[in-house]
Amino acid sequence: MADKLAYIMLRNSLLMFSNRVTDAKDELNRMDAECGDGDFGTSMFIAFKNVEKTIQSSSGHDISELFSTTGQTILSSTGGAAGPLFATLFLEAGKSLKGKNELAVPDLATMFENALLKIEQRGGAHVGDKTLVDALAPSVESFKKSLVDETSLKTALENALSAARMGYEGTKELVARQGRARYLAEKSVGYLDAGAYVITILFECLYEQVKW
Amino acid sequence: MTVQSIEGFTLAYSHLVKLVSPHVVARRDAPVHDKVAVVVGGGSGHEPLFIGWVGYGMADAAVLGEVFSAPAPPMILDATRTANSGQGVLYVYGNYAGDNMNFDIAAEDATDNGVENATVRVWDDIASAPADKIQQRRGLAADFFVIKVAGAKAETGANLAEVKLSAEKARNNSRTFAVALTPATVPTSGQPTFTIGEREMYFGIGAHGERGTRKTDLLSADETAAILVEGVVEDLPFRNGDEVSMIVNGYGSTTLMELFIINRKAHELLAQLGMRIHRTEVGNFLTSQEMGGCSITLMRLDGELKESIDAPCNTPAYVHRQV
Repeated sequence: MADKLAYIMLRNSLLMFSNRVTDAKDELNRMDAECGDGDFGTSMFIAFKNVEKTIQSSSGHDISELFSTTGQTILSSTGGAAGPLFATLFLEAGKSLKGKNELAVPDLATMFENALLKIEQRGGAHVGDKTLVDALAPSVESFKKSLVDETSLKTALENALSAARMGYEGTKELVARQGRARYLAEKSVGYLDAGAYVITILFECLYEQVKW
Repeated sequence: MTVQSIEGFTLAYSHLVKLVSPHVVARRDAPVHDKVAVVVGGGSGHEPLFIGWVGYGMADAAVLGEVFSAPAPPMILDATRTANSGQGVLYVYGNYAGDNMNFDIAAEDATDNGVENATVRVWDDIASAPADKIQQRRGLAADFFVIKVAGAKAETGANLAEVKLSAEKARNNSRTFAVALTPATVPTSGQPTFTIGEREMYFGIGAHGERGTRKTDLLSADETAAILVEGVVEDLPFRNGDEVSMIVNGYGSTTLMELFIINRKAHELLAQLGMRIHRTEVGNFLTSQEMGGCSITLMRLDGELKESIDAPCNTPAYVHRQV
């Protein structure tokens, strides 16, 4: 059982994440169509096909660069509202991990907290607005708790995934207050947020690296 | 699709514009020296919005994302680099989450690279949020007025702060109300942007199909014009004695005949309200693919805004000469 995330494990998780996201194109479009214009899956498909190519063709070993490059690739692949937000997540992660050769729970806690803060600042969303923040914020809280409880890496990731999933499930009953969905107001209740869903996929892919 | 559209556009107007990169178009003579550069943009699918107004007296460069989708920062930076002559850049675009974030990221990057810049977002759509939450409103056809004013002011050699102030004044004094009868089709999905009955109208609907404020049965053109004019006038509010410029904007599949009929009634109503109409524009300014519908935009004029509206310009979709 791994107690640190090495470069190769992070690289694998991002490749897996890219795969999962591109495979989910139709599903994400469908989810987005409930409250938006149904192109979220397509935007993510384009972005992560490029991320996949970029990662596969790179021969680096730098963790910070892995995340930064992923963020840059997303940013230049697609605009819309999804592009900047997911790009920000990876770009901030990259900034937080400068000089790190492997990641432990404190690194994950810092990286995701910094990403969350920057995303909130960039997009203006907060917990309860029915966005990816509703899955990301609980996972950040979970990492902080794992730090205090000094849990293993595996348990920390398992708990973060759980928290993200719960946050995601919770978006169903929320009234959208951001993006195009907010113009639906109460009519946005009863639908799950596609951005939050993608966050749960990210944590699934990270957890996959350590769960055996 | 967007890339092919832009290519075709630049071929048609090569005497006025040049292709900078697949999503970016600029004035042929960009960068224009000793002048603030006006860079505009947003999603494609609303032509002639943005790219149609690149040229003397309006925008120095325009950047378009995929249909109904904001452009990415690298594209916005391409436009910035091409347009910037060292006097600063004013970004003008509609108030939408995607546009706001992508332009913000680009603006920060531009600043980091020593390009002075400022931003004016357009939020003229009265239906998208109440008047006390005006900064949550969406940008519609008043984009045209704000870009015209910014472009005119920039041509006078004003500095970035002055151009921004003028553009903000144009934005603050503009209001728009829209109505739709038939939806647009999003090209990538083939799906309509909203659903509506055969004999229904939807007031307040957005340019990408964002939910409107009220559905009614089909009304006459005169009744429709009255609702649109009343909505706009009450919101600012415009008053007896105000001088205005108006846009009767078609959303794509509405005929000029219908727009002219709407305009006729609008002129009558505004005269009754004691308002003077300085200029009227009728046609497709901000479309939504083949959506059927129209919007009325009014901008209240003062001396400076009037001068900017009257200033000469030469762009593919809008020309004004001194005769």
